[in-house]
Order: sequence, then structure tokens, then C-alpha cells
Amino acid sequence: MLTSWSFRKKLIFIWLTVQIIITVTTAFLLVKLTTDSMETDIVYQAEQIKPVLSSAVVTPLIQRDYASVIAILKELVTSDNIQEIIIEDRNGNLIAREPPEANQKNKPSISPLVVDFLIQADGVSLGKATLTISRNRLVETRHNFLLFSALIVIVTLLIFYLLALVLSRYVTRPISELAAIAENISKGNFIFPELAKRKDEIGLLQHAFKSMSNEIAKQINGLSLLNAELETRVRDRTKSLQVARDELVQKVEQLMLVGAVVDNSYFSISIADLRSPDTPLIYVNPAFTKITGFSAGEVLGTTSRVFQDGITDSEAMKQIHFTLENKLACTVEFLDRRRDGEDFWNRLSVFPVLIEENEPRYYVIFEEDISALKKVSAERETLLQEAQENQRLQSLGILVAGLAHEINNPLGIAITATTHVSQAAATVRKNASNLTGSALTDFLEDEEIAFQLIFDNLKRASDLVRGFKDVARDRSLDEKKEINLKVYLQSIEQSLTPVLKKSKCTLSLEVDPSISLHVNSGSLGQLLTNLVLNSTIHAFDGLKDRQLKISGSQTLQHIFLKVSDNGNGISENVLPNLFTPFYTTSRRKGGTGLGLYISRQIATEVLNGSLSVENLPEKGCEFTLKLPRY
Amino acid sequence: MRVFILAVTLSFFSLTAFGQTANLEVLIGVVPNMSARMISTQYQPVAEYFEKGLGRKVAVTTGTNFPNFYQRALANEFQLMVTAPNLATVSQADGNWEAVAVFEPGIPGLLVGMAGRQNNLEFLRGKKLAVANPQSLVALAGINWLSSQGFVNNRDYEILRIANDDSLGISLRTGEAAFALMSQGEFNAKDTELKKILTPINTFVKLPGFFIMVNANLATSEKQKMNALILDFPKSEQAKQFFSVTGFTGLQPPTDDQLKFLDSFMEATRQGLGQAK
Repeated sequence: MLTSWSFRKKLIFIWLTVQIIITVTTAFLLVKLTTDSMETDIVYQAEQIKPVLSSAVVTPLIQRDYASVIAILKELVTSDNIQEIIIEDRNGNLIAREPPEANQKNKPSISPLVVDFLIQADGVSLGKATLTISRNRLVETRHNFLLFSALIVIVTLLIFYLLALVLSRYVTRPISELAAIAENISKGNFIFPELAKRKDEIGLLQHAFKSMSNEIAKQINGLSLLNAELETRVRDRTKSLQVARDELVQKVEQLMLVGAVVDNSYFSISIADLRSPDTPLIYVNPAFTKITGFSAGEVLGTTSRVFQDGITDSEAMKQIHFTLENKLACTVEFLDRRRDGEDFWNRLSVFPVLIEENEPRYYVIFEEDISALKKVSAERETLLQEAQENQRLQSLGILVAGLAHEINNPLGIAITATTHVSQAAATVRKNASNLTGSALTDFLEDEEIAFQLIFDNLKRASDLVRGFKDVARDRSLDEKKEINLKVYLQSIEQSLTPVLKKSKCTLSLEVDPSISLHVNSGSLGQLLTNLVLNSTIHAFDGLKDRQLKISGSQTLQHIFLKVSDNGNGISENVLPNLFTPFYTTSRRKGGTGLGLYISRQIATEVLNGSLSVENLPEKGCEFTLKLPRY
Repeated sequence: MRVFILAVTLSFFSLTAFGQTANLEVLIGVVPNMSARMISTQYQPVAEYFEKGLGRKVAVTTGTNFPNFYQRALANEFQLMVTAPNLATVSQADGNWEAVAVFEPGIPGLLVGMAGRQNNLEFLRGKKLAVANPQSLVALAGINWLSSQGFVNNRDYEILRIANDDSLGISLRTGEAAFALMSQGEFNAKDTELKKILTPINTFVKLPGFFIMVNANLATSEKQKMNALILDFPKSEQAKQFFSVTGFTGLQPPTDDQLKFLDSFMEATRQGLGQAK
């Protein structure tokens, strides 16, 4: 009900209620305090009268002078409050009573205070006194007080009611006006009517209200703009959130993918937590169990062997220690042992993981059983060694074939000359009888030419054999020795002459004669032979002009040997795989795909240099062998 | 029904009245030579003794003054009475009282003055003599003795009547009176501080002690019982207490000499009592 009242009504109601409570409480407290005070006075009066009465009546009581006792009582009873005094002797017999019973017809409405006490003289009981103190005055006073209080309450309330009416009118009217304005404002009407000017709080309120109205109008405009901006922002933010959500979904999917990959990985993956004491393993994937034989339950929570010298291969463990101490990553391969005792080759990688921190939080340990790979690798290594040996022999074979071809001519000439000398000698012996001097001279001149021819050709053959011997010894011994590059290349050229003739190629040398180097000459020869042979086989398909060139130059640090041709060049898709083992484009021609691979191996591993290839701008290609001078 | 209730009520009140007669309180009247409060206190052992001996309640009372006490004695208000010797002889002569015993020692009559000052009789000349009760035997004997010493009342001095003998010492201390007449017992009853500044100047007479009297109207058996109790009183515990307070040492039946001596004061006593009326 109260909520439906007008503010004015509430104000009056609350005002009057508070006033009633205060006034009634005050009146009640005053009446109570007065009553209590009077009651205390009555008790105090009784206590005061007791010794007076006792003292006054002792002597007459001893003297049995009851008339005096009555006289004393009469004196005391004249007091307003003393309603009655009764004196009895120690046997309970009535001695005196004032006033007599006849005067006690008008009994008061409230019970009086009755006090009994003994009258004694030095411990001797003389009787008993009953003192009755009237509370009539108390009742009367209280009654008057209540009447007076009620009158004051009524008058006060009347005054306060009138005050409340005036005050409420004074306060509520401007409030009602302001309420009407507020309602208009709530409907969007911000026109503020002119109000009577006041200088009090209501005036301040009107002023504040007007300012507020203007401010609200301004704020609403601002809010509309802000709202539009906010809507735009919300749209943008929604869009960005959508993008973020999509990214998040994508990340989650990626994460799930990574998780699935990790779980299904062929590699053993285990993760150690660096922040926890003893760096325990917190994750191992199924491949870990497959590779090491230890289940996840057995190792999770325990310290990885990586962190506790658990790897038997001391070199590998040493490298891991160095890696962990320097917070680096490493990969080691070592012969490991499974839980069941079976040996296997383990390729173990350790690397730290940083998550938005400078210090690594986790270490991830990759392990891979590379036993099969090791086996294949060993077989391949053997194969490559065999291939390299074969190629060396092939190179020697070519050399021998060339030598045989070269040695065949002088030996043939020497044999023909020998046959001619033999036939001429037989003709001379047969015609000895008829031999003329001129015929003998012709025979001797002819014999001298023939023997000179035999000598020259046999010497040529001998030189060829000696050169072959040197080249063969180089190839077989492969000793490191000081060579003059040009002289050495000429010997190579000579050994390749039959092959070049057969393939109809010409080889030219452009070498600085001052270049000398300390090198494994056999390996260098094999490498250059390979490159020349490779060019004769692959570079000139369909071409008649076939030129090869070996050029040599030097810098302060390096010596460059370049083998170039004017052939077809190398197609772009072949070029990256040119040095890959067993990669060949002419397997039908008997190519094994190992020639250039071995050449690079010799360049890098034996000669400590490098071998590269590029197509020349016009045509053909060029192999560059870069060797250190010292 | 109403008649029945009335009968029962009357019967109850009759029985109650009979009971009250049977247990009637014995009243011992003591001559008001001291304040009523002091008499009540001092004679409490006597009351206890008789309560024990008689098996009845015993109360001690006194008169508002000598004549009042005498009148009440003549009216037989008391069953026992302790009174001054001269009043005893008058009461025995004019009333129904029989003297049973006299407290010992006798009552020395003292002329009392302030300690530490000139205390010859000449000091009295022209001044006042404080007397609590002019009808008392001590007062009468003292006035007679002063006359024999040449100091006549209303000529050489004036009697200053003091309401009670408690105030006698005070009248000396305030200088109202030059001397006071009092018994040795009354002197002894003064409080210690007062006794320090008072001093007995002369013991002018030794009177018989207070008389213990029995109302002659009592039944013979009761009277005999009371007589026996009175004479046995010195043997009781209460007597020791009583004697220590009053200065009495014992009691004896009155002698003829004592009675004859007292007879000489009878007329003066009667006269005093009469004037007092």
C-alpha cells in the first residue's frame, strides 16, 4: 500500500510516524523514570521512617505508655504518604493503629508499600511495626503526567502535522514538477520549462535537473554515435573472433593431427619435464615401447636415461651431456640394447622445447631403430667401394686398351722391318755368288734404315710401357706427391688418346705450366679420367663437333681444374640429381649411376676439395674441381 | 448453617482467650531511675531468669516518671516490681505490695562534680544542683545532708530538674549545674567518656538498695514460687550478668532497721509524688 502512495503522502506519514514514536517514547520514558523515581522515594521514605519510628516508640513501649505511642503514630501519619502504622507487642497484640480502621474506607486503587519491622531496644524485642506507605500520590502524579503527556503529544502531533503539510507542499510541489519533466525526458522530450527560481536545495536540484536534462540529451546523441561505433566494433570483433575461432579450430585440428602423428609415429618420442625435480618423463608414445621394450607405465615419472648416464656408448653419452649442459640439440647413433637384451642401432635425438620462455621447459627425445638402415648402409658402402674399385679397374682397362693400341703400331712396324730385313738377308744369301757391290751397298743401307726403324719403334713401345707403368702405379698406390699439373695432365691425355679417338673427341689442355701441387695423384687421375669418359659417353649425342677442354688455374688459396665440353648440356631436372648415387639417364648404355657420385666422393673425401657442375651459357657444361693449395 | 459457624467461631475465640490467660505475660516494673532503654537492657537477664523459672513470658517495663510508676504500681499493673526503697515502703503501705528482698550493696548517695576543678561545697553557693528526680530517696537524703551542711534549697542553691539521670553528667559538663546528686549505681551507669570527666565529691549517705517486691494480689502458690525465685536469683547465671552491669552484688530479705529508716522518708515521698501529680 505504502508503495502506491504519493511522495507527499509518504513524507507526511513517515514524518508523523517518527514524531509519534519519538513523542510517545519520550512521554513513556518520562513517566517511567518519574514512576521509578517516586517508587524509589517511597522505599527510601519507608527506610527513613523505620529508625525514626523505632526510636520514637521504644521508650513508651518499654514504659507501656501506649497513649504516647498513639500520639507518636498520629504525628507520623499526618505525613502525606504514610497511610497507616500498626504497632503490635511482641505477642502479636495490637498496641496502636493509626489511623483507626474507620478511616480506611477509601482504599486506593494501587496497593501501598507495606513494611514490617521489629522494634528493638538493644537487642530486646519490644514488638513489631507495620508501616504502610501510600502510593496514591505516585498514582496521582503518574495520572497527571500521563494526561499532560497525552496533551503534549496531541498538540505536538497537530503542530507537526501542520508543519508536515506545509513542508511537504513546499518540498513535493517542485519535486512533482521535476517528476513531470523527468517523465518528459524519459519520453525523449528534453525541453525544460521555466520554473520559479529558488535559491535553496530545490533550486539547486532544478538547476541540476536542467543540467542533467541537457547532459542526457548530449549523452544520448553521444550514445547513439557510440552505439553505432560499438556495433561496428562488435561486428569487427565478432568477425575477428570468428577468424580466431577458425584458427583455433584449425590449431586444435593441427594439434590433434600432431598428437595422432606423435602417437602413430614410427619414431619413439618421449618428453622430459625440466621444471620438475629429477626431470621425469611425462610422455612416451607407443613407438617408445616398440623400440625400447619399456612400457609407458614403467617409465613415466622416472628420470630418462638420457639424464642419468643410462647410455652405454660413452661417446654418445658424452655428446648428450654436452648438449644438455649447453641447452642445445644433438643426434647420436649408437648400439643400444632393448629391454629383452636384443641389440639394435639407435639414432637418438635430443632437443629442448621453449614455450614462450627463454629457458627450455621440456626436452624431447627422439629415438629410431636404424638397425636395418645401418645394414643397408653397410651393404651400400661395400657396393660403393666395389663400384669405385671397378671404376678404377675400368679406368685402368681403358688405359691398358689405349696402351695396347699405341704399342701395337711400333711393334707392328718393328716386326715388318724385321721381316723385311730377314727377307733381304735371305735374298742376299741366295744371290751371294752373284752379289754385286752395289747390291750389297743397297742391302746394307736398306738394313741400316730397317734397324733404325726397328730401334725407334721398340723405343717408342718401351716409352709407352714405362708411361703406363707410372700411371698404373699411381692409380694403384695413390700416394700423395708433388706433381706439375700440366705434365700430369699430358700423361692423362696420352692415356686417354685411344678412347678419345674412338669417341671422335678432341681434348685440349689450357694449364698454367707453373702450377704444381701436393696431391693424391692417382685419385686425381681417376677423377679426371671419369669426368672425360663421362663427357665422351653422355655429352655429344647426335653431335659431330666434339671438343673437350681441361683448364687449370690457381688463386692464393685454391687450384681450380675445369673440365668442359661443347655438348648438349645437362637438362634442368637432371642437374640436381647428377651426383646422386645410382642415378643415371643411360642405363641402357651400361651406366651405373655411380661415376659422378664416386668422383664427388674422391673430390671431397680424398682430395679435401669440392666438385660442382653447371651448364655453360652457350652450350655444353662444365665440371669444376676446387682443390686447396696447401 | 450460619448458627453453626457462629458457634464454632465463638468457641474458637473462647479457647484463644483462655490460652491467653494461661500464658499471661508477667510484667516486671522497674522504677524509672534511668532511661527506659537502659532499664530494659539492664533488666533483660532478670526477665530471662523469671521466664525460665516461671515458664511464661516476662517483660520489663518502667514508668514515664516516679509518680506514673507509683500510680501503675498502685493499680497492680506489675506482678513484680524493682523500686527505690522509699517508694517500696510507700507502695507497701498504700498498695498491695510485699517487699521480698533488697539488692546489696546499699545505694551510696553521691555528690558529683566535674573532675579537675574546685570541688568544695562553697562552689555550690548561688548555683544549681542537678537532680534527676527530686522524689528519689537519693535526692531527698542529699537535700537533707546539704541542709545539715548549711546549704538550704532555694536559698543557697537551686534544684535543676533533669529529665532523666542520663543527662545529669551532661548538665555538669555544660556548666548548667555545679554539682549533681546521684546514686553510685547511676554513676556507674554513665558511659566511660563521661565518667572520665566526672568525679564523686562526697558519699553523703548509704541507703538500702532497690527493693524487689511481689504483687500481693497474686495467687499464693504463684507468689511463693516468685518469692523463691527471687531469693534464688543470685545463684543464677543471669544474676552474674545482671550484677556485672548494675554493680549489685547480691540480695537479702529487708531488715527491720532498713524499714524503720525508710519510714522517716514516707511522708516526704508521698508529698513528692503528690506534687509531681
